Amino acid sequence: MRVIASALAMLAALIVLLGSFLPIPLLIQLRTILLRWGAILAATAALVGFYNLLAVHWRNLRAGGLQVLYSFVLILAALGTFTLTLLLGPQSPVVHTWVLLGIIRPIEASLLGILAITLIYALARLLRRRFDFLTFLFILSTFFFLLASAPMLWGSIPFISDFLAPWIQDIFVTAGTRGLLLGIALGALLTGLRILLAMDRPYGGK
Amino acid sequence: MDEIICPQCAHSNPIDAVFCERCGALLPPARPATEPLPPTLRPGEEPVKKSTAELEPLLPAWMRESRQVQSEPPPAPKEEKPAPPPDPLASLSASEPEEEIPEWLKELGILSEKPSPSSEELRFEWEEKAEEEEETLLPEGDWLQHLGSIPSESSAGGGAVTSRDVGAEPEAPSVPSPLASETFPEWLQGLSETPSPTGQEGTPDWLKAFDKTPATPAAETPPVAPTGEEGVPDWLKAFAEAPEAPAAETPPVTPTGEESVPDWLKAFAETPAAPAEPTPATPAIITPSGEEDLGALLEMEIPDWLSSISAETTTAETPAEETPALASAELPAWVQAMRPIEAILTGEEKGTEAQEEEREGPLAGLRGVLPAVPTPLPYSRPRTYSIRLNLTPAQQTHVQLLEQLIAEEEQPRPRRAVTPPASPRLLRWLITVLLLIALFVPLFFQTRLTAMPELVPQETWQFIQSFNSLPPSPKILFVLDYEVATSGEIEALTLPALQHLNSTTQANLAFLALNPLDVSMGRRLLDLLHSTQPQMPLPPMLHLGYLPGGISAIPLFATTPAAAISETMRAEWLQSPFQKINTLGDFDRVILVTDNAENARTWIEQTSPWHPHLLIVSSARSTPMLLPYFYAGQVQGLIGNLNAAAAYEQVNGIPALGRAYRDAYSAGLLLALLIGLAGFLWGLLTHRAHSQPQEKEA
Repeated sequence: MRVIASALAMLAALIVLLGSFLPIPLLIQLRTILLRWGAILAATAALVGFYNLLAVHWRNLRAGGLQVLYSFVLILAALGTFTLTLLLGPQSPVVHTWVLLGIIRPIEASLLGILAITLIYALARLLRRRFDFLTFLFILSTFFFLLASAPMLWGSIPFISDFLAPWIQDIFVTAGTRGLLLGIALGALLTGLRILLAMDRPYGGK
Repeated sequence: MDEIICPQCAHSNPIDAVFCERCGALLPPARPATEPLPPTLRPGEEPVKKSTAELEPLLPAWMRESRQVQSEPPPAPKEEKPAPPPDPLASLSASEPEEEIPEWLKELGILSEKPSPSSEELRFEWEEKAEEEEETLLPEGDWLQHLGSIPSESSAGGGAVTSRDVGAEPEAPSVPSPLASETFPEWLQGLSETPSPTGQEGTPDWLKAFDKTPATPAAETPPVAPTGEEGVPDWLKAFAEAPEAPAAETPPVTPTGEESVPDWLKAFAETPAAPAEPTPATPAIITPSGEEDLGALLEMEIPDWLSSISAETTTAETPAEETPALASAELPAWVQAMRPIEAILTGEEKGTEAQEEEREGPLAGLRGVLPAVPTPLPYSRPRTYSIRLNLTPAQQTHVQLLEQLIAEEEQPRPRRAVTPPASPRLLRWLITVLLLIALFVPLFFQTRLTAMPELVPQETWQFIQSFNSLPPSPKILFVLDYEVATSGEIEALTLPALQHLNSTTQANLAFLALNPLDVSMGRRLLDLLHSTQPQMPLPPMLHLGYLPGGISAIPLFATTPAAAISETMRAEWLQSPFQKINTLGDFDRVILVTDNAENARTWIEQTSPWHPHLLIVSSARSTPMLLPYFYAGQVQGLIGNLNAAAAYEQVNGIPALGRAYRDAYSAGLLLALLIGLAGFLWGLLTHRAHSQPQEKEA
């Protein structure tokens, strides 16, 4: 069974890879079919995840305790949104206005506002928590970029906003980001090769 | 039992060993295999102190005499005693010359006049064991007191050797003892109950050899050689004087007398009856045929003084009438245990018969090689060692120092007074209130205090130039991939681009959502556009909905967009201006609106071969991760923060959310900067205040 699964995975990966490089109609059609199957599987996985979420909170609801109220609200909101979207469609004004803009958007925006306040509070108390060179460096860099990006009454701060901050952004930040992206790309390439050569079999439990 | 277990180390020693071969400890005297072991003290039992003063009379005479020699003046002359019976063991006392003491008794250190400290300890232990053994025998009817009567019954004359010397009761009557037979030891019971006229059954094998020799008449025996006067001990002199007794009246051998005499003494009594012809001197004990090995072993075990006597008795005849006197001698058990010959014979014979034959292993066929039952080890009092330590002055100093350190550790240290910090909850509320004021006041009052940016960022300028180069009626795809929480920022960044499109061209817009919550966000963007440009008609648009599969379906959408979208949207797709779109590259512009750098990276890497002119609108937190793609040419333009949006609005000349949010954004950033700076200074001061007392303490 493991051999069959590995053979199927390698065959699908080869077809998609060759379909991306070679303009052969048969390969392109096979590649399209496989990608659609993949999309359906991903959608099914999302549906399974939704069911698992409901099952976990249903067990919490039956077990009792302090989390009963939260689990009840979650189940109620999930089932209500799912039912409304299923009946009225995702672009219905009711769903768009009531659910999305009336509930989800304010709640998530409030969470981000709390995050902003927490970060500012942590910045104020950071030096009392940890007093070393890296803390100094972090605080100084934070002050510098806040000051450089903050609009002033007179416009921008000369030299800092016009030259120094963009120069640091273009040289140091971009260099670091490129290194990070290169590492991610190499890791993705290596992972793809290992899966293609059946060295890693995430579908087989290894 | 043919071995002795050392009480100290439990080592198995030969039967003739006196000291342990391993640890050198004094071994207990060997006892016959049939005799039960003395009661041992088991773990958990308390030793009971017993008074042995009352047992003093039970001690043998020679032992008491040895004590008197050491502590008291010389005893009274022997003439006062009315014909003391000859005591064979009494001659072993201190009055005997040193060279006459047997070697095996010398090793025990019993008879030494001036014992060394080591021999003193040995004798103490030996006496202690003897006392314990006597204590065990005493409740059985004080049989030693009655032993004297047993031989007197058979002996006709008073010159016979009885056990009075051992029991130290010369006045004991010579009548038969009424003591019950069960009070006697087993060997004594056997002697009294089964009288054999010749003693064939009770006689060991080595004595049977003497029996086989024909008894010589008393008249034919030559007189005792005078040369034996110096070498013969005193107790043997009594043997020489014994012929004065009426030998004719005394039966040659009385059954009871023979029975009661130990075997080793029978040898003395019967060897004079050996044939008169000269016999070899060295084999003092003649073993029967087939037992030469045992005889050789016995020869080795016989003391020197005993072998010399045997050799002399072979040459000098002793009257047969003396045998009853020897036969009546009785010895206590502790003396019997000291007999090496008896112990070896009985132990080997009985032990071999009682033990089973080995059936397996290299010892197969042998009998009595391995003990069948483990012998319980006798308890011995452990040696006491002094626990007093001898410490040098340096060690004592170290001990005092260690004790001082431990004492200091146990003492509580005075806790340094610490000023409690301000309540974190109050500080959080203060920060919250200040931020809300700084953000809501500019928004509520629509202030325009901050100046608009004079410079447009390079990536934003490229974005604008890309829109300026659009063909007429372009087909533009907006891919929405952001959370609803960041929709405020994303809408402010996207709105200038929509205004640009709507004001310059009649673009055909299509909205595709990579996030399920963004399905209807395209409609909201158009609503915002209409609110900022109410006079302008909205461009035609197509909502493609959510891309089934999310980011995993990006490659499929890049190659065949119509096949990737849902079935319900496909019909609208085929009826819209986008029906001629076969691949992603057929769109005039593709604009990715995202706040997720990871998804943006996936989109860029998966769709770059089909559409190289990608434009991105990203939130401020994702822009640093996407700028390298702009510098690499994979992204044509980018709007990355509120400053860029405000600059775009400045270029368009249409005020939008970027200008409205700019004052609030500036006030929020400056307030965050001030709060962080205040915390930084407060942290410096408090750290210095904390570090100074610590330096003083150090």
